[in-house]
Amino acid sequence: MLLSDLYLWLSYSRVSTSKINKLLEKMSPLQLWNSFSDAQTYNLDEKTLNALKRTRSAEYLERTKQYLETNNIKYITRADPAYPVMLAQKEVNPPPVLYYKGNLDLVREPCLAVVGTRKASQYGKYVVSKIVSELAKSFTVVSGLAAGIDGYAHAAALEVGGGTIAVLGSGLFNPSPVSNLGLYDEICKNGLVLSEYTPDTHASEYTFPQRNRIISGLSKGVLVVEAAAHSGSLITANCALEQGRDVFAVPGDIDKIRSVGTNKLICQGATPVTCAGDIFDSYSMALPKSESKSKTVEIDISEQVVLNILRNGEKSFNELAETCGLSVPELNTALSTLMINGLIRERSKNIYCVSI
Amino acid sequence: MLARINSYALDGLNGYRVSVEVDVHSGIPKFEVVGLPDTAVKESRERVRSAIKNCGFYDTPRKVTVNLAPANTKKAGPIFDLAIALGLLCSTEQAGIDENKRTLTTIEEYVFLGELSLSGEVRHINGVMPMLISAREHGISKIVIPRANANEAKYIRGIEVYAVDTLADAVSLINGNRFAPIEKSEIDVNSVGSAVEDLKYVKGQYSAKRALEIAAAGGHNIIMIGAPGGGKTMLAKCLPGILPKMTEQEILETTKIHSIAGILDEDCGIVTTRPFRTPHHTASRIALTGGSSSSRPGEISFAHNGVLFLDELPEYPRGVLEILRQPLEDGVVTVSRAARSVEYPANFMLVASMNPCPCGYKGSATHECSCSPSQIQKYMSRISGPLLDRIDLHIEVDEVNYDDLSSGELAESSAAVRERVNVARGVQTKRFAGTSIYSNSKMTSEMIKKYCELDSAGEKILQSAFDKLGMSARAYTRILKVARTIADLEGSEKVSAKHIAEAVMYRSLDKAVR
Repeated sequence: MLLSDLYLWLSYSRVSTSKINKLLEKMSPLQLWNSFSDAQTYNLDEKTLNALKRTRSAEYLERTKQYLETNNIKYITRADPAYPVMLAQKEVNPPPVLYYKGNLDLVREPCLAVVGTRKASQYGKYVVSKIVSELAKSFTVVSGLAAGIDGYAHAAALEVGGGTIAVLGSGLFNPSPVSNLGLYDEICKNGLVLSEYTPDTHASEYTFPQRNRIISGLSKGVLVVEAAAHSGSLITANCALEQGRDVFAVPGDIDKIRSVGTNKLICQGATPVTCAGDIFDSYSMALPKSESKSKTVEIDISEQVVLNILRNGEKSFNELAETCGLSVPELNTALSTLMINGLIRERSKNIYCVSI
Repeated sequence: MLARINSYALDGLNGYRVSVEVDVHSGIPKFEVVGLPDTAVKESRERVRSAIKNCGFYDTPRKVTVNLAPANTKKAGPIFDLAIALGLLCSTEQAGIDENKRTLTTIEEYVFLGELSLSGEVRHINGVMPMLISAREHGISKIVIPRANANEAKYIRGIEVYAVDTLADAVSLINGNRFAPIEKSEIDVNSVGSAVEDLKYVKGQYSAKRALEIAAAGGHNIIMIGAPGGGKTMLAKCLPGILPKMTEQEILETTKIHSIAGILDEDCGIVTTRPFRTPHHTASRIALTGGSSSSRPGEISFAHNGVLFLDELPEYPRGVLEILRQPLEDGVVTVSRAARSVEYPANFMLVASMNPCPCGYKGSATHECSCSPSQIQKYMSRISGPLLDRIDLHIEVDEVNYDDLSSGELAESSAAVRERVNVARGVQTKRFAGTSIYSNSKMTSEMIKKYCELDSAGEKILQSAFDKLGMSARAYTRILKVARTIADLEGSEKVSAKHIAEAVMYRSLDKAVR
């Protein structure tokens, strides 16, 4: 019996990972497999015993392997030297098998997790696209494929050609949410999708918090972009602390629900992050050289007026219309041209600010 | 004896001559109407008999057969009452004969339209305007209509129209007594419609007001997105006040449809201000496109040359919205039923409003949105891409803050905006003279190529707008059309970079980075 097959057996028994790891502390997988045939007494509850018994057949495992192969799903067990070193640590509670699609080499590169709320605001989206596009040049971006910040992080990493890893809370056959299926396919092609669950597993309310430990486990640090007071992202941050990873958080307005969690993290000692440089500094890494964007843009007088006003803080369209002294069509033209040239951006609807 | 009276009926917008033949012969007393009459036509026998009696004529207790030729088309409505009554009187020799009991030929010259009351009064009927226009095309020179319809008839030249009040008037007409046809008058294209709201009372909302001005000037479809209470509906209600004046051709087209449906203002007689139709979101498909057994026009045809305002767009059933696609593209709607198919013009400007999410506060500065991403997605998906594709201007309407509400200052009035809109529309009327379109929004690809030629700066800014803001391809022609209207408003011959830049601002739903 190959050691990798034994791990596959443990995974397919669907006994919880923590129970398996507890057992493996006492005996090796081979001992566990053999102990059944010897009908010895062992310290297992009945449910676990039955689960292990049901799947304990060489023939079943052979069929499973074939099934995975025909469905184009690769897997890596703890017996494999390629198993991510970062996960093998005891605090992570390493799963016996990881099922994956895509490029497994990504896990050996320095990884950084970017997580946050599903109900992201435009601010969150902007922060992700800005910071992650820098980060992705030096880090593989790990996240959970959820709607909101997770999805934006993956997309931003893919956009700049960086590596990205999506850790699912379900089997690989059941990625969710539907809105991110396109992203899922793209990550399968250009990144890595992995899951500790057997491919047919459906997501449940327990699986998502469980996978968060893998997101943080794979990474050197976790960046929380937007999180409410009881966000799942805070679970990831907690896992990161237990595993000895760094926690970074993007500060936000104190009166916004989506900033309560991140601001609390900062209070508790997380590193506040306002730009990608803060993260690079904390790892004593050099900022990746960005292509010099010193493209000079010609600005006419009305655009200059608008730009000067916006430099003093964000303004809504109505405020601008009242203060800048331009007519509405002129103002519209100026704003549009400035946005197209990338000098300002629409922070949220009809509110404009200078882009940094 | 047999009498033959001319009348008219409608098939869609086109009229055709109906010959009402009345024969009185011996047999069991009976009154039979043949020629595919509907219930209203069949019931005319009761009205006709009472009217005859109450006008001092006598009703014959013999067998009466009325035939409406051609016999193979369905006849609907009470418009044949007058013709049937006259036919009956002629065939019983109470009218249309001289002292020597010789039949007069005058009867052949006239076409009679009208509903009768039991007292013999001639009542208002629907569809007079299109019937008059068809009759004129068919070479008919004299037509008799109810007095109540005189106002809509007075604008049709080249045909003598006689208005009658009672059955007795009509009888005296066919007995050879001449009286004057109604006087014609000119269509006044400068009459100003009254809007419920005036733009001067709309505080702030500069961007939205500007977008409305552009939409009105170019006939562009527009969607307003914003939190509840932002004033979307109020802005829409201001729209009638800034819509450009109608051309004579447009007035006739719209009046025809309103005439058929019986929604014309009797005192005015024609539609001189652009219609503003606001069907509720419980409206059925038929109510919107038209149909039913009589192939009546629907709301989108009533809005022809005007505005169709759909408040809270996602609340409309998707099926109802999808049927708007073809009329939005072609400007006509074809109502096909088993028996016949009718085409009605439906060249309207679509104005829609919606919330950004089910709770309404997504992206709001003052409220937190309580919707989940899937809820928002579901809400937005009720409006299909192809429909959004046909909407030129997307604008975000801000919430109004207290300072704006309490300030006593008045903004620019609707009348001032309307001046500019009229000028811009005048430019377009000149540009599209000789074509079938009136406004920039309906330009074909060929026309866009011809009239929206860009200089290199314009090309460049459009190119970078697509790159930077992640515009979708479908935005391309929309931006060009809107830029053309902005240039027209400014009085500029060429579409230049600044027009393009402004047009880009009104594509908020297209911007990938929002």
